Amino acid sequence: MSFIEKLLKKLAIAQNKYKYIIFILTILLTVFFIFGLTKIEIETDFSKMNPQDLDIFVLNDKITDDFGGKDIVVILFRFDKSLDYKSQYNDIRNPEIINYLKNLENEYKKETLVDSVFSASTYLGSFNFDSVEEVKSAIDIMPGVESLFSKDYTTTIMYLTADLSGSQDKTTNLMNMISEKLENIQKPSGIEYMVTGSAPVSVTVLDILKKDAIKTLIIAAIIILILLFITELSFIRGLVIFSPIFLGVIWTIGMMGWLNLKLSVATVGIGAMILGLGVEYGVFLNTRYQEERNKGKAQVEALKTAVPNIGSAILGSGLTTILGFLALTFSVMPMLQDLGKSLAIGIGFSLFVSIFIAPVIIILFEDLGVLFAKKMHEIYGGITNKHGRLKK
Amino acid sequence: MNFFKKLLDRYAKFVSHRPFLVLVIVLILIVIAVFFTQYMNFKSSDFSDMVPDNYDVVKSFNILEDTFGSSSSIMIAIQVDKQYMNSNEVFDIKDIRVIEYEDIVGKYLYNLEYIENVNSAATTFRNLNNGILPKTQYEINKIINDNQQAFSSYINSDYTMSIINITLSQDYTSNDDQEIVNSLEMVVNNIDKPVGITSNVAGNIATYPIMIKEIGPDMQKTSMYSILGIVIVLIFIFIFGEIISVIKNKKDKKLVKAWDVLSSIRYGITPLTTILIGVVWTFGYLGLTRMGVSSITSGVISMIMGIGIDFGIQTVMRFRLELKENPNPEKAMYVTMMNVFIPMATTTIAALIGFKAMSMGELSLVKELGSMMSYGVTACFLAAITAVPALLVVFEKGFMNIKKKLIKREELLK
Repeated sequence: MSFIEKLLKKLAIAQNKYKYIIFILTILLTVFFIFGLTKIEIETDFSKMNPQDLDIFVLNDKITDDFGGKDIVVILFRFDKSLDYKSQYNDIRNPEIINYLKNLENEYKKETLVDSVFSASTYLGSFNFDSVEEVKSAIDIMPGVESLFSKDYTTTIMYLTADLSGSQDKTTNLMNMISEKLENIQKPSGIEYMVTGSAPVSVTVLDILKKDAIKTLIIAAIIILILLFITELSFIRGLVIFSPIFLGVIWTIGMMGWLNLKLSVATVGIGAMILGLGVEYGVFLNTRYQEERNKGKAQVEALKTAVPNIGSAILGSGLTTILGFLALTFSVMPMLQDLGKSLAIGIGFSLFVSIFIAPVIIILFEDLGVLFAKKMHEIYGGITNKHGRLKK
Repeated sequence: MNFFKKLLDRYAKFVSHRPFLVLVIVLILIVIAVFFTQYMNFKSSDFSDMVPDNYDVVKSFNILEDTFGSSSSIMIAIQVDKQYMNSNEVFDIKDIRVIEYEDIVGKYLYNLEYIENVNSAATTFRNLNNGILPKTQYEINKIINDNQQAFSSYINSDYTMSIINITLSQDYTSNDDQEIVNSLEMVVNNIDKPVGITSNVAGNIATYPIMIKEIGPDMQKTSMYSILGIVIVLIFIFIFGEIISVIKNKKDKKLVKAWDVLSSIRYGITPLTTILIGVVWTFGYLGLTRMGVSSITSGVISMIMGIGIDFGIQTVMRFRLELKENPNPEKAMYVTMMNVFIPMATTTIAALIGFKAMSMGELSLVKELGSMMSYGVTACFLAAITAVPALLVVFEKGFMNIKKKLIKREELLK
């Protein structure tokens, strides 16, 4: 027997002896990691996903610092295609639209979140136009303004820049403010607006990331649970295998929160991945334990065989998986570095939970089952056997 | 015996008794995969690639690009080079020589494909000065002072940097990034610039070709570290253990002992074939399906290796265990396959569920990552039930024959 196996055998004895203490410690640790869960943030700043040390990113950052406009919002104004706009306007270079843009621009300029606002009214706002022809003449003498209108003069744009520094709150506040003003300021009839740009995309990505993180985890959990119910032919045994692995997922995401590893496009599927990769450890351990129990061995004896045998095997395979994931921390991409760290933590916790916690959960569930059977037999002694099952 | 057991029984017999045939099939598949890897490509990924098209913000973004051309920025940044600061060369970006340089660059840029519009301090001077570029430094300073707002988009506040903004035409697509950046770099490098300044291509578009260039070496680096880590673990698991057991074994002679240690390397190498073949097959499939590798998905090799090596280790470990019970390599492999196939298949299915769940998310890059990992894990599983057992049988037979000869020789020498 190797050194590791000897150690694991001692562990198995301790697990049987101190099962309640280990269980309470597990609950305390889980509470600690649940607090970490509340700290987890979502990375929506796309620039942080790139290797910031490369010359091109250093230069781009300098340009952003010197010329502003790190986060851009573009508002498109165009004729509402669902309406017969021709009855009202046929050219977006309309004085009423220029006035509308001017009012909107003035409102946005008052906001501290906004660094700059730029539209056709930036140039044309100081004039008092009475007709489309007058607007056209003004545009003709101001080169550059033309580029703010589409070629068919059905669309114009307004740019807003802000430095949101990847802050979720700032981004959401900015987008709410922009929408509020667009709704509150009376727009010319027949005109519709659309908002796009890096800031609104960040808000959308934020929403999708939240949804995807939960959705992928729930889908993986349900399918794996069903698979366990089918392969183990028992709901209880399926839950016994599943619960420690699910703990591992909670611990992983909680740890990410404590370590300030943000949930990003790369790490959003971490829960599903850990569940998929970690479940094998639980399956192997439980199967081996049941094998020994079926031979008629006592709980502690079954643990003394299952924990060292399976523990040493999954330690080897888990370690290679962790090393494979840790290799990602050498990547130049910050996103991949975070993914590598998160996955290594995830597999590490899955291993830890499978070797240290899962055996305790197995025997506690077993004890609970025996207790339940006794109670059933005590209450319904006439119709149930000593296993608590209905007599045939 | 149920249907699946019968099938497994047949397969186990086939792979343990026809190792050369299995290896030929594996080799053919490797050759096909290698052929298709040439179609594998690296791709850049910006935010619009991440969000699905059905979102309003993406629909608006597409309308914006269709109407006004690409919203991605590309520019030329001209900076005062600080190493010249104390000489007579350019130390202020408003210098007339810089403005003239920007004017020349702007003219050249209009000759390039996909360039719709060029805006710079020079074009602003022409707009504000009846189409004429100022002739003296005094004129330049005066126009800038009188029109600070107009120049703020092109000259920074401490006069160390100026930018030439380039608007791309609607013909431009993200496939043209490399071409545009190359032609801009050619213009920047070929036009004589005043001493004391540097000029570089900048903006989002300029980052894409660089990121694509980074993906390949980055993949190489992370996969090398991954292999290194795995090899260290394999040495501990297989070779160290063998050395210790050989040292403890007092029956065998020195030559046989040395051979046992040397031949234990095969147990370390064989599991590696799982991930090497698995990665080649995965990349062949990615090439066949023309699925580009992006900066996020470039980490798949390391991840596939970390997960896939388990299959190889399991097969080799069980085979060694069975060899102790039954020294016939073919029989040992048959029992091994009968025992490891179902646990490995279960593990693969569980991992695939996790990755498939990722594919059910909405972010396209996460979907791609999930799909690539699924292909990788499946390929490693297939390699572990084909190439690994076949190699183990072939190696074991070969090594056993040599060992027999060595024992005979030792006996003769005695």
